[in-house]
Amino acid sequence: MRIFLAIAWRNVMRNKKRSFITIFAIAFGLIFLIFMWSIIDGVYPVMIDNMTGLFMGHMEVSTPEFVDRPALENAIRDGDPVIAAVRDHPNVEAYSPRMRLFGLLSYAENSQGGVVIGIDPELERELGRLDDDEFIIEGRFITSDDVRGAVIGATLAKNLDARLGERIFFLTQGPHQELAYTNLNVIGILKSHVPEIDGSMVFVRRADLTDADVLDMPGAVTDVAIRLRDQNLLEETKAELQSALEGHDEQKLVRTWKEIVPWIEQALAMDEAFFYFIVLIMFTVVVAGILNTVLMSVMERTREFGIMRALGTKGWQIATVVSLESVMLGVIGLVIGATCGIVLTLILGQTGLDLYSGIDESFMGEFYFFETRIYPLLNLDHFITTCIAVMVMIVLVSLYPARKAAKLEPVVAIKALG
Amino acid sequence: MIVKTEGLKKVFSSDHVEHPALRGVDVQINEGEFVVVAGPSGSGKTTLLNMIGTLDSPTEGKVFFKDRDVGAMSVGERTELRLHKIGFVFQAYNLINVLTAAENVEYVLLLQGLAGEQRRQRAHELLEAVGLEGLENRRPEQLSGGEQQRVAVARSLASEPELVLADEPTANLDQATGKELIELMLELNRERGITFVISSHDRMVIEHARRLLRLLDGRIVADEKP
Amino acid sequence: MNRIPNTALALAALAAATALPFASAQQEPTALEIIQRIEDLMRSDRSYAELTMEIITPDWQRTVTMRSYDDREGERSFIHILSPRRDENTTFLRVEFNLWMYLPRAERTIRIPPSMMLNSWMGSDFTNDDLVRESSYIDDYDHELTGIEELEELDAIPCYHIVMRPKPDAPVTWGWVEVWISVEPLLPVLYRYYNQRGELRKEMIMSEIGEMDGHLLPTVWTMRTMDKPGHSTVIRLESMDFDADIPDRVFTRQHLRNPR
Repeated sequence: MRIFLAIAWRNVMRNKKRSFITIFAIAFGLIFLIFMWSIIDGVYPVMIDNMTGLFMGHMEVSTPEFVDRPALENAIRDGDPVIAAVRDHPNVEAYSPRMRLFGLLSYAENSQGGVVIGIDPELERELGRLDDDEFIIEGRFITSDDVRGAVIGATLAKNLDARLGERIFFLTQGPHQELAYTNLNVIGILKSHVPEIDGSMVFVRRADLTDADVLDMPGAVTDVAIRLRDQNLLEETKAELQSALEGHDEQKLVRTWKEIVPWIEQALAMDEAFFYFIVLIMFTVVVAGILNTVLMSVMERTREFGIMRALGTKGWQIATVVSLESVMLGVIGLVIGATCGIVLTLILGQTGLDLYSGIDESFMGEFYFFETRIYPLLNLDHFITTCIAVMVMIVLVSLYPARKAAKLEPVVAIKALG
Repeated sequence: MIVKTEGLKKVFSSDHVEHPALRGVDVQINEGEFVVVAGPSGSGKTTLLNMIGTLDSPTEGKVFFKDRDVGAMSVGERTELRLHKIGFVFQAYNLINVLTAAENVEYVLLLQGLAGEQRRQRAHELLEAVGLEGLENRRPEQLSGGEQQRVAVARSLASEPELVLADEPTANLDQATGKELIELMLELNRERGITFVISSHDRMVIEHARRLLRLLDGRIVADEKP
Repeated sequence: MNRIPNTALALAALAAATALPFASAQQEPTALEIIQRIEDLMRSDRSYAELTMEIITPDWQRTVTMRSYDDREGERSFIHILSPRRDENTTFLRVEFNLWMYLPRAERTIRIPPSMMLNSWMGSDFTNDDLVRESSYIDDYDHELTGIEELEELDAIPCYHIVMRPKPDAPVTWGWVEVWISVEPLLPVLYRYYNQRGELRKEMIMSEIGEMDGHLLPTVWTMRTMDKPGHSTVIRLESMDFDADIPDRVFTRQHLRNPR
């Protein structure tokens, strides 16, 4: 066996330029794959997190009727058992009960339709990130002590021409079709770059809405948003919560972010499909390159193989030599590619990659809740899978030329070069 | 008797053109003989040697190696035969390019499973016998044509074959070197009793023949002992 | 169904003094005349009333007390809600077809826009629109007396059955309105409101005839919305002062903020 290793190795060394090109192709392909996958690993969770981490959460509990018609009559009258069920689930990291009311917001002569969202400020801070400094451009987010305090979207503030410290008026319908209303004090202005939030949302304490003077619906919620510890258990957690909520008076529905904003998953899937397509092309190119190299090298040595056969070398031994050459090229290419790939990914993982500079940031905000910097993430499983896949591919590719070499008839082979 | 052919015929077909290389050859070669198969190009010398050496199969007729019908053997058995019983020296490109002279000689021994030290010893001996001591660690590209052929001869003897087949071994060498080579072969034949069958159209080679088979158009036209 | 209680029969004598039936006129009255007549009976130029409104739904009940000021000729009225606490000092001003509402806790006056006119008023079975439509029965409708009927659900009391259809240009949402007015005493008993598709949408029953400030009139008005079973609104007239002396300033927007 050692002699075949020696023959294979020396053959590789014999034609340095060609071997180098092949190794380079393998390494390049591997770097590309590792890098691409690390972009996905770095970006997708971030994108999902941006989407869901801001305000939506991974899941939402409401009545099924509320999904179709988000009106007060479809609210959950007694939110406590729902909140308890959510809080007790091990995979729930944060939750925020909400009371959403559609109505008219006015300031002086300006008025606009909007949504006032009653929250428990401390819980909402845990769940979402709207309270982050980067989003609160004026004033501050509400706390549970802010009686009738409100944080309003920047676009809404502009439309109403309402400023920090001023009072706005909210008019809506109560649970029995009577008018419900309240004044709210603007203590913060919010700019999230998400049009729905900035243009129509107002955050207040839930107590200020369920108050006897406004809705008179103590303990009521319209929905409870949830953030999970482990995103990968999305479907399991949904099923578990759904069954925990069975048997309550009103029927409850648990929805995941995929059901709430399905277009995001579709956009991600499209991206993923595109990625796989590129990977496939890449793979094909590299495979073709390697195949070409190995085949050429086999063809060149047809006579030599013939002589080896004449000397009594068995077919599988010839095949082994050819395969070993491919494997050696593969291993070298793999090592170089893997090392470079890791280094590249780790470096860019720290500094980030500015892919979308030049595009208006609010456009990206609208489309993808996206930051313009991408931070690739090296995932060990994916890395190993990629390396194994490339190695397997190389071995498989070499099988064809190896088989061809093994099947050479000595006489034919010897005649091949005169 | 070491090799016998009966009614050996070989027809090559290519592009619907048939080319009969051997048209019925009956010959018997005995142990220890130093046979030269002579004839012009295209007379079927190489083909005959290939048949004898189990590298190719006849269209008609049989080849016997020491009473065993080669045609009835499996591919594996033939490979074994070549490994242990027959040595080859080709016209050119005999050697494995990436192995040294010593390694080329050792190669056959490796195929046979000989252990390390023994192999090296034997290779050394053989290279010595062909007058190449000191050049053992050179690769073919570092050796002259004649030296390469000598290595080929040394290798052909490595497995202690009973029969060595050489197909136009001097064709790529100059006269002087070629003569040295043939004389080496003759010497080995005398000293070790190995049967040699050499094909050539070189006069110098023919002059050294102890038995001469003349081949013309695929048939033996003469069988002489000059 | 609602029965006109025995009190009414006992008061028939009183009725003779006030709600003179047409029988004495010895001629068949026209529909318009009947409508005008009951209008006069129920309202006067300026009246003041104290009312209780009970809103009943299958899972909830609420009682609202209010004061109402009415200027029939000027087509103005003012309502001041007294209870419950949540709605205390909420006030409404109606001038012709405009309606304003004052929200005390926000100290804000809003004008009820046309888009909200068909919304429920105070959560009851009456709409904002109902508040501004009162006097339009005479001017905006054509009236047809189809005869005298004795309806079982009205205890077979003989009633004039009048069908009122909106005039072509009238800004009225109803397809038509039917009213049954008891012949003796001449008082409305039942209103039925039909939409433009001919579906019965609402029904108001007037019952418990009583005497208020010398007038005889039904003191309990029960409104039902047909597609909300179990929902009804019952307005009780607690007291009424016909020909009250109400100053003009009551019917102003300033008064909304500071009702007295």
